[in-house]
Amino acid sequence: MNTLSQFHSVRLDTAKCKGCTNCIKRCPTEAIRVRGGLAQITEDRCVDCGECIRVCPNVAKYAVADTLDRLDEFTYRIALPAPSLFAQFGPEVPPGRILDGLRAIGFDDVFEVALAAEVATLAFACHLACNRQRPAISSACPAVVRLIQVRFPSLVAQIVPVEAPMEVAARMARSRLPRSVKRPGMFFISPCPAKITAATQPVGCERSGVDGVLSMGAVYAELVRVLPELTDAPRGFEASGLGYGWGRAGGEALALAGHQCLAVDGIANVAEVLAEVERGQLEDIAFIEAQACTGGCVGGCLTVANPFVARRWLRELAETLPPVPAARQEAYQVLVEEGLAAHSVVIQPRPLEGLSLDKTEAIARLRDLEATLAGLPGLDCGSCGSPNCRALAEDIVRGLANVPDCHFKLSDRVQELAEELAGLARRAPPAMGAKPPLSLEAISRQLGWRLAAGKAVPDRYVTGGYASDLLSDVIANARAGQVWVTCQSHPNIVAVAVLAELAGIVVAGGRSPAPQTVQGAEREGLRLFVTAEDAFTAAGNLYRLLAGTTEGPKPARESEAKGGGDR
Amino acid sequence: MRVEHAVQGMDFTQAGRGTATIQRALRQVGMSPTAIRRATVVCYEAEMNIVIHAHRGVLAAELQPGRVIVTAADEGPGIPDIGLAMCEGYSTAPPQVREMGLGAGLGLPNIKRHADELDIQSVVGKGTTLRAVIVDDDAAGR
Repeated sequence: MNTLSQFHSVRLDTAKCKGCTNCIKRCPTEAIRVRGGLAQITEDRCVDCGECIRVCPNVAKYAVADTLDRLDEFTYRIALPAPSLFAQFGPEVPPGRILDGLRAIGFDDVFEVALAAEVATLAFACHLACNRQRPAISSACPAVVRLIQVRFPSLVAQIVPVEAPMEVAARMARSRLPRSVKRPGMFFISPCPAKITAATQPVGCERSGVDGVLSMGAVYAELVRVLPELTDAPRGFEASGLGYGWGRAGGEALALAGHQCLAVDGIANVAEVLAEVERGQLEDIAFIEAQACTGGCVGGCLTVANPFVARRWLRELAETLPPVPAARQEAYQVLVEEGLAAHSVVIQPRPLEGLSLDKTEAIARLRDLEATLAGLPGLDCGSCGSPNCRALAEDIVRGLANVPDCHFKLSDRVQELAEELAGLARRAPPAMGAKPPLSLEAISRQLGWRLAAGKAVPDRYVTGGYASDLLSDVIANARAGQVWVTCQSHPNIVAVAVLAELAGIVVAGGRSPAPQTVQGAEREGLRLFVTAEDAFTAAGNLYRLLAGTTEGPKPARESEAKGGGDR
Repeated sequence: MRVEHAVQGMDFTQAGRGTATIQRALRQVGMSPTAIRRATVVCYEAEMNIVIHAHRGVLAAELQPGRVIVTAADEGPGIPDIGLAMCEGYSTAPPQVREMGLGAGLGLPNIKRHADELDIQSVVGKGTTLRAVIVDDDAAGR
């Protein structure tokens, strides 16, 4: 199924895309990756919800809709305005005037999709009456239907097998046409890209009855041009408040009052509710109205008016309209029984592919994924082009990305290499200019350290320095032959220095070692120095002096440890 | 491959996270949607049991080709009579939990219905370990 080429109305304008990470982080199916500076959409995952269009600051994401030029292909053009169109204008423009406007911009007739919503309401109610699986999920929002196919495939059987009002409207309008009409064209006026996709590649039927889909924004622009020229009294319109209410969140649930309904809008919220259903919850709910756009269809990314303002206006409009007349309701009953609104194709799940088709291999790759993820910084910054660290780990395991795609991992690697290079540079042979190794005697003279014990101990080369006041740290991490800078002066430092095979100790901060410390150093054959400098300065000076020197020849351990006499 | 999640008793705000983690792993290893659905119900009920009844516990899933083994091990009061606990409607959940619409005594029967194998070991005063096996559809020839 995933191999079928998918039509998508959501597209990328490569000239405008700056490769920023806004869209990848907002996509509900993690379908977008930034590659080569462009936000590329993975077709199998995209549900055409339009979130990326909404969030793109560069207007690089757009929906391909038909243009009004396509009206010329047909001899009789019918507009199918979504209920949300009527919410784009304020109360001063009544619905009848908008129908007039649609005729004025080139349509021969108009069929209100709100009428189809009335039929869909009845079909939904019939489904709820004869099918007991709970909760049933609305099929009205095509982005939600696709989201279920891709992300919640086990829930496809719970989608009400009834066409969305757009499709029902095309069928009803076609059935009303006089026989004399040749080549009619049905044009849906859409608030969102999901419905454009649904008309081009329907999931509930083989072929859509809609011939073209126009962007609501484009139609709005035409309407505002012609509306002032219309002076006759506005024509009547048919649909009820129940039908028009479908254009906003909560409208379906309101239309199905009497059933236990739950209404959710905004695609992230929808995903959370669907996850709840997948966990076996919400079985006491009969029907879930789920709309991908916040506010419902009035929140679609092809609309013009502020969704919250539009939502309020649509509610007010719906409340003033009369209910569906009884005679019409009876006619609808016949249409529903004839199956006018029913899906003719069973909706199929389209689950995202696992990490491998082979189950054993997939489990091994999941293990790799977790290990890879553990090594990533976990900032979810998106600068690698994947929406978060987990998605990058998955991309790496699938062979679609590499660890150094993570900026932080790359910079770690660069630092490692730089340190390695610097180390190699320090190892240049003395003949090429590297400084010769330094002995303890030479260091103490240059840095002005005073010898407190070990005058009789033979001088030796040092391998480096170590600064710490924590004895267990010194035992664990100081290396043989180093000079130890510390603020501690008690006798135990001698034992630690011997244990760690250090070349000597410098007690910093002008502290005087206790008499037992001095005696211990004499006994163990250890050079003990004192300096008035604080530990930071002493360590800094030592570091500067030793930097760039080669390590001196290492003295044999025996002669070193026993220099001052046996214990 | 083992996926696990620590669960804290009475922490209702985080309840369900362990289930979501396991569910994601099952998707990635390509388990069938219906088997994932059954495993999800088992995990969620087991996770909620820890939240409602136990002090703390660990929800884990051992992913194997063709099946998943879910374990929920908790430190808690234990179950005195497992046979009784398996009866639909029997519950020892405290009233404040029942007010949330939980603890209706459907959890264990629900797990039993969705799992292919179920084993519960419990020591009163110490804790409970639940082990459930969910076999993938193609592996079970469903």
